[in-house]
Amino acid sequence: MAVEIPKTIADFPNSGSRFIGKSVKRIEDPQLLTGKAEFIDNLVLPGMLHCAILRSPHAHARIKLLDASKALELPGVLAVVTGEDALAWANPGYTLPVGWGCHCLATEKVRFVGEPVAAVAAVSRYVAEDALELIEVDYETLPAIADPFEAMKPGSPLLFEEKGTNVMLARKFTWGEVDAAFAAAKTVVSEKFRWHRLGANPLETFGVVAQWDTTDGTLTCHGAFQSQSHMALGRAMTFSLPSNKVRFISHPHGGSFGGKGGFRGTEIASMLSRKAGGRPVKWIEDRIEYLSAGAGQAWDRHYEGSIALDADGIVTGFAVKLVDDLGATGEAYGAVSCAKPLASFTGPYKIAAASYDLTIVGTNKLPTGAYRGMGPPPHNWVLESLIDQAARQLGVDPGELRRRNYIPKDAFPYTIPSGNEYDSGDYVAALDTALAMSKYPELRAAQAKARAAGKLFGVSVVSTIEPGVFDWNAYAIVGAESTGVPEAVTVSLDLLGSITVRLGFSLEGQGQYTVVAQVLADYFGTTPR
Amino acid sequence: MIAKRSISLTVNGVRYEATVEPRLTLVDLLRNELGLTGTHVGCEHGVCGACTVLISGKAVRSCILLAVQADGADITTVEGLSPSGQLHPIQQAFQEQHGLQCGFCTPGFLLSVKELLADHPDPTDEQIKETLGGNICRCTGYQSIFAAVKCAARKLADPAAGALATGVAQVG
Ligand code: FES
Ligand code: FES
Repeated sequence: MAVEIPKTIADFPNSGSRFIGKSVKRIEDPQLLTGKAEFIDNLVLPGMLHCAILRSPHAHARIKLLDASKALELPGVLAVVTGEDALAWANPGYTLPVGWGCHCLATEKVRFVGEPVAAVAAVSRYVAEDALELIEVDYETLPAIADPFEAMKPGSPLLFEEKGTNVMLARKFTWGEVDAAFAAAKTVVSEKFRWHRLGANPLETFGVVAQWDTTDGTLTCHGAFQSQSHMALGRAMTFSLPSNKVRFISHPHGGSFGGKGGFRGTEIASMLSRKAGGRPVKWIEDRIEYLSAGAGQAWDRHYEGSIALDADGIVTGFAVKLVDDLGATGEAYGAVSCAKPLASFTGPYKIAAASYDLTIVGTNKLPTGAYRGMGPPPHNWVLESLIDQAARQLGVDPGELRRRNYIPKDAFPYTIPSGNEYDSGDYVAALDTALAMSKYPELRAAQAKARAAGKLFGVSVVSTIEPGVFDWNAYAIVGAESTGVPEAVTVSLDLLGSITVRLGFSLEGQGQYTVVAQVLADYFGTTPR
Repeated sequence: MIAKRSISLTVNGVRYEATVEPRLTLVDLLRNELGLTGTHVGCEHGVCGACTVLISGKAVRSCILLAVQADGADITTVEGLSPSGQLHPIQQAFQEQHGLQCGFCTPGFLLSVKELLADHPDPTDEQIKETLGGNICRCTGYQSIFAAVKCAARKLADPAAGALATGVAQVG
């Protein structure tokens, strides 16, 4: 049966809005308030073992010797895995850009501080941590690179010698007559920008319970997964398992913000389970592991940006050059966040010509990940700062300069130079509302007064378009063979009339279950229970 | 390995006996041995407050207290707040005022607030801030937690004042 997907609430078959847009109590709260929500560290399976991971103290080093035999002798230790096991059982993890990764446990050398080199499964985390102290590793340190411009120089130490370069991806996009726009410009504003590496820090770290059924070769993982189907498909590729033998179950998260990657930890726990004869293995990332080697760091960027304006203050061209320091590998998908700005490259503005000169470079730092909606804020900051500088240079109010350049509301649907189509918008109305709510003229007057008195007082106008995370083909731009997120929603009705929804995501704190209940209740004309 | 020690303690009114390694933390005892997993672990070094429990009504961080140090203690965890399933007024206030998002920090906050309101039923803004400063929430931004504490104080002072947050439709 084909179902017509309603575009607005008015198209719902059964009722108008009784729950959508209303203030409601969140249905997930009672579980959270009573401590009953099943965060991953609460899950206990029969026979479960606990994993601890030994990590590299060096940014770049060759492993000359690794001896884990004493760890295995410690009472309570059931399994130890090292790079040798990874070579035997696993492929290098899938990366973006493709081909810039390594095994979940270091095989020949380590490329960043915190890279896993060995792991233990034992009857408790305490015993597993004891066992780590018995593993002997002899490193030969190698010169490490922390700066992407150094990394690009000929003769620089190489992360992956066989590649002959640390440049993981170099691609220039040109949309429209950018050079002509700059040549004809009345005003050109250019600036360099440095956005330093930052990170998510959810209160709960990543965790997983992996169980490798050694009889039928099925891998089942419970965990704080942010995109469980991606995780499952990725692990099927790592372990060369048929994708229907890999089952991933996502548990509520104590916050995520893009920092719940857990690719390596999941693979390590899976291998330990296999080595321990199929017993479930729990790995809970500790805070130090999260901060030093977790998946939450992102956006280590060096920008050069320019805008061209005509005599009327209309922006006619926008050129961005980005050198992104991705860290040691492409395993955490930070590259996607370099591509994501293409979904709204020129923001809310009607800019006819634009270019993006993108270079993604590897250094001996933690691989950067999928932090917070994956990438547009630094790009928006570049564009908005250039608009502000132009306003200052032209002596025009920054709100006014933006208003002049907005895509007019009758121009939608509107295709931006980088190819995305915006469906609708009324940016002038949005700006006017924001200026009215903030009492903008009064703010400016207060600013003038404060400044006259020698006090610093900042007022800023910012307009950005925040594209949804997966509405656009950011993956393919950095080389992925897929176009989006393989998550689905299934709604079913049982014989007793109850409606059940299966979702491709878990609780992360935004009240997703409540939102789903609101939508379905209005759609079906029911009341959530 | 150092010899295990026998301890006994009361948690949420139930008496437990346990034989533990001296290095076992109280939070690991509560979560892993007693199955009281509502107390969470965020940092394991006394910074975040997610592991906060009450010992004789005083808030402590159970991740940096050893189980053997809690020998003989009278402990309250989040599971002790609503034994019958009916939310405690502090829990109700957190829900009404949207004092939680992911909820991972919430059990720790609830117990810190319980101590505060026991000592200061009508706390000043400064006292509330001082208390909340001991717990980290990475999601909410604290304003709504602050509002929840005020709401909880009102509820505890006058149980009839229950639903102060009006206009909230019930889902579920
Ligand atoms: S877990 Fe105890 S203070 Fe953070
Ligand atoms: S609600 Fe997520 S950490 Fe506080």
